[in-house]
Amino acid sequence: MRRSKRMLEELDHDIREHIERETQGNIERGMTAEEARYAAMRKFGNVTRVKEETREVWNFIWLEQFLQDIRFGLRMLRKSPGFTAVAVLTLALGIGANTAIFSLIDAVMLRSLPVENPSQLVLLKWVARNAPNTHGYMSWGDCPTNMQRGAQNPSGCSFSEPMFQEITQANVFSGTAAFANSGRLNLTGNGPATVINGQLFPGTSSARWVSNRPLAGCLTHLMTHLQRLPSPF
Amino acid sequence: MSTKEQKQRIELLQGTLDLLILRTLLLGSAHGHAIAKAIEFNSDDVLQVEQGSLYPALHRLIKRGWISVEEGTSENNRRAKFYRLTAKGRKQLAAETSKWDKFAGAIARILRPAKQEGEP
Repeated sequence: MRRSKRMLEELDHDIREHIERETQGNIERGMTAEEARYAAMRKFGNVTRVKEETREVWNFIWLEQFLQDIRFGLRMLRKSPGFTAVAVLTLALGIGANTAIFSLIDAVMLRSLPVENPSQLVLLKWVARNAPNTHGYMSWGDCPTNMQRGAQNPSGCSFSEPMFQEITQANVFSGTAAFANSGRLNLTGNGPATVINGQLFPGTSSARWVSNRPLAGCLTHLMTHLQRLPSPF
Repeated sequence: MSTKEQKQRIELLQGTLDLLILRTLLLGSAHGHAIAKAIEFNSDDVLQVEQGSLYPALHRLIKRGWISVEEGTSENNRRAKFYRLTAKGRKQLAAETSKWDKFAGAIARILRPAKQEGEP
């Protein structure tokens, strides 16, 4: 690597020196100084192209050396199978243990829902014999909604606001929360504005059972989980 | 040089310049200009070597470890790089030379079969 750099740095000097010698030879053969220099340049050819081609020779030397190193390493490993076995086993165990521990931490600490009792969390869903008459209905996420007229057992996950109040006051649950799709929102700040999908999440009644972890970030995490919850009915 | 002169000269085949450099250095180390002059002189000016093309070739040979380079002062007391054939390069030259002989012989046999048939 260092050798190639030094060789290239001195290339300019070498080429100048070469043309100088040729010029000198031409003068000795009886040319005028100007003629001699011109003839020498012509004989040498395109200096820029020569420099480029010479540089290309060293272009991928690091890659070649790297491959050489890898081949050498593999050869050495093959030569001492005992050492290779120990090294591979150590790495395998290390990686395996790390993966196992991380899976556990991921499941217990990172993926658990940011609520007090994740196992008691339920998602309400309605099922009816006939499709209800609604003045606008909003469904969200991947909740299966079937409200077509004449459908067998129409169902959905969205409730009217009075219905939500009823459920809250029924005191069956230690806490209730509702959320609704807010539609597209315009997010501006540092950088270009982007369109995001928002969720409306009424605060007071819901914040109680959402644990005291910072809400930002947790909420989206919670939302994705809510959409996968089983319905109690 | 005149155009007439140019016509009588032959351009080098791809890859032969490396061989010529190695052969030239077999006689002892030399700097770039001397190598170019030696090739011209020893081929009776038939081979047309663009002197600049010598440099990529020299660097290629250094990279492969066939020649080494050392600093020195030339006959007129100027700083110059001297290129020297390494043991690896010597081996390579022997291998390439026999390969070249085979190649030249084969081409010659194909191009001049009549001569052989005409022989008594």
